[in-house]
Amino acid sequence: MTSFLAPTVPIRSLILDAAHGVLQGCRPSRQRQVLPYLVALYSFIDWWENEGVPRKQEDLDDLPGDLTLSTTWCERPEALDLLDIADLNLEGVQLSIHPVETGESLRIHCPTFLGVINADLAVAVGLDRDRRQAQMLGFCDRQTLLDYWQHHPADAQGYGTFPLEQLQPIFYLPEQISFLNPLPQSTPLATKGNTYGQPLENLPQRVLAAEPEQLPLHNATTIQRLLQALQDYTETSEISLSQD
Amino acid sequence: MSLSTRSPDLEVEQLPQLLQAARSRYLAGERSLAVIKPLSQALRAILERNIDTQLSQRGGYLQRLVEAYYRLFPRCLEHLSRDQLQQQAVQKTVQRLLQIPATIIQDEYDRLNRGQYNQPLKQLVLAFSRPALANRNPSPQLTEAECFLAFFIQCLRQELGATVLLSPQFRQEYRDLLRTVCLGSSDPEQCQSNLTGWLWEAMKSFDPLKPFGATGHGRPTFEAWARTVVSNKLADEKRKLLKREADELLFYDNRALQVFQDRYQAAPPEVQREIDPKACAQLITIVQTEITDPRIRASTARLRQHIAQLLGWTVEHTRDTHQQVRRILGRYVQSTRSLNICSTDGNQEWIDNYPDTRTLPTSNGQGVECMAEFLNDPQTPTWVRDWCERRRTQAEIARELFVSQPTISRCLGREYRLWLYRKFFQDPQIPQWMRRWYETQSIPSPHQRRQTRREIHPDYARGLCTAKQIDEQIEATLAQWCEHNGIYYLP
Repeated sequence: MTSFLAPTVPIRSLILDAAHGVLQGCRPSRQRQVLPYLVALYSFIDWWENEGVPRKQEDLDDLPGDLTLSTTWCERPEALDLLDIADLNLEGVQLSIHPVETGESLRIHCPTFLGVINADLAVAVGLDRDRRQAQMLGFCDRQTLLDYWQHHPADAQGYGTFPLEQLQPIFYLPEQISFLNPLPQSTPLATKGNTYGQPLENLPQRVLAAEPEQLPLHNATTIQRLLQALQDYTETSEISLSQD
Repeated sequence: MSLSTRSPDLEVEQLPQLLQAARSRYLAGERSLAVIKPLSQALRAILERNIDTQLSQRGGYLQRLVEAYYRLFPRCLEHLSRDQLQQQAVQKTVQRLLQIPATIIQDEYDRLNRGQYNQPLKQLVLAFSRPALANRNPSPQLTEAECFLAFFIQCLRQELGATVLLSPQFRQEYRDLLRTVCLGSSDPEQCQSNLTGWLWEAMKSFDPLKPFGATGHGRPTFEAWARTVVSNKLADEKRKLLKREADELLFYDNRALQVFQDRYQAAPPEVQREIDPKACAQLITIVQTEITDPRIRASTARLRQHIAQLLGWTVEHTRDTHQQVRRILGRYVQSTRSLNICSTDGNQEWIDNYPDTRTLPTSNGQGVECMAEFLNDPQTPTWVRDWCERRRTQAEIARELFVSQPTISRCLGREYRLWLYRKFFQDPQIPQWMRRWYETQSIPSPHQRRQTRREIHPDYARGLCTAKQIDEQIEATLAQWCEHNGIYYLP
């Protein structure tokens, strides 16, 4: 059910290039197996930066300067040669990202999730290869997964499942990230993950723009502002007279 | 109903404590329903009060709220009893709130306590906790408990809305709506896959008890609401697409620097003033020569951090410069690629997420009085004035209207146009039939609309002219009338 709420992002050539960039260093036999993990990872980043983060803040237009994201394993070819893995650290919260091909179910390799990544959350990303679309199906926290696996133990290879319809909508993810990491001011937990997006400690923190003070009622300014906005904007079909 | 009037109701006031208690148990790993029971019972007890004595025979608020969803979407909810729906929605909403960080709830509190923010919601909450003050304008400061109740009500509406939206009957019954709203987008299929999520998000501010008209939400008003939500979201999607396309040009096209310079030269001085061409050129060059790793390019945050490092800039400066580059390259993308991104917006340069509002002729007094009249018109929504006077932040207003910030100018335009028409039709010189014709817009059934129009306009009835031609005729009369009366005309 949640998939009806799940937003999609196009799988663009940039995403594929990034995935192939990592895979160049992998054994050819592994390349095909781990490609979905990387495509899911980069599609997720695309979604996070265009929708996830903006959703959380008031400035809907762009990313805050102090955003950090980093990976520990999945951008290292030598790790991908051994494991099917996509990990991402967002603001100190550890995510394990799982591709779900069309019509398949969510399968999570428990030892990787619990041990290697030591993940706080699992994120499921649906991949529709025909339509070149990735769909953010939802996420689930570690505790809920553990509870579920208690009753539905993993198979002999260590793979546990989780029903897609029980995932939390991805729209809750930004809230959940802040919930797990309640001190956004503190330095990100650099120990948890790091290869590319090395947190840049020396860079000055972004200074949050102060909200404009309430101005005293000033007719000329008020009207000027309105005029500008209106003149700038040529109206669309939305309000023109309806047509039969 | 509580007898306390001025001091907040005790039952409401204990909500934060109950939330805290439930949250501690949740954080300790408890997942049973017992965790949320005290909080959900308290919330139900409060919401089951009857806050509208005139409607006393229809039961408490919660009951009326649930009933409103049933009336609007009878078939989508037929598999659930009213009790089931009510219980399930409250329970799920409480569970969700346990997992929302205190900082986010705090932000919501701050927003709610700003002057004019979401007055209807505040009044609703006060009706539960301090009925004597419910109709006071402006509302008094809300307590933490009252803010929590407000937040809960929003999330509850969303949950109830979700039950409707996710039912197979909804997709069946509203198939036409779902299909047609997507046709205006450049990628209808993708639009369709995002559609339910958009509506679901907007459900938070959808109040089935407080509809557009006095008669309550009917199917036509719901459909109109849904169309508005989607068209606003589509405008957002286009903005994102443009950003991505501009970045792709930056990454993959070695003409990017040349294109940037050409477009910069061609830009009007107002735009040029806001661009630092040297910094932009530096950024383009460093990205194209030094940052070729697609892994870095695939994340805007990483990309900017690397640029900042290589050029010795602050991340903030890098971000600004990157936006400038996107803005200029975006102009190129827009004018050269058949992205289909302009089709629904007509001539509007929708790259207005980069505020281009300074490219305006100075108003030499023309139309200024009419602006004041527009602002003072009782039918003009208060947010328009708040926006003009900067009494609330743009982000706040955007949230209230459920639009992106850039879309506010569109909403302003719409309100202004509505006012223009109101004013226009007040003029006794304007033929009556034009007003009647204009009002046929609100007739939901196409058949009935055509019928009424035939009665209004004999040439239309005889098929001598189309509705569009008559619309255009009225529009042209409006334009002339504006010019004649010195009123600023907005096409």
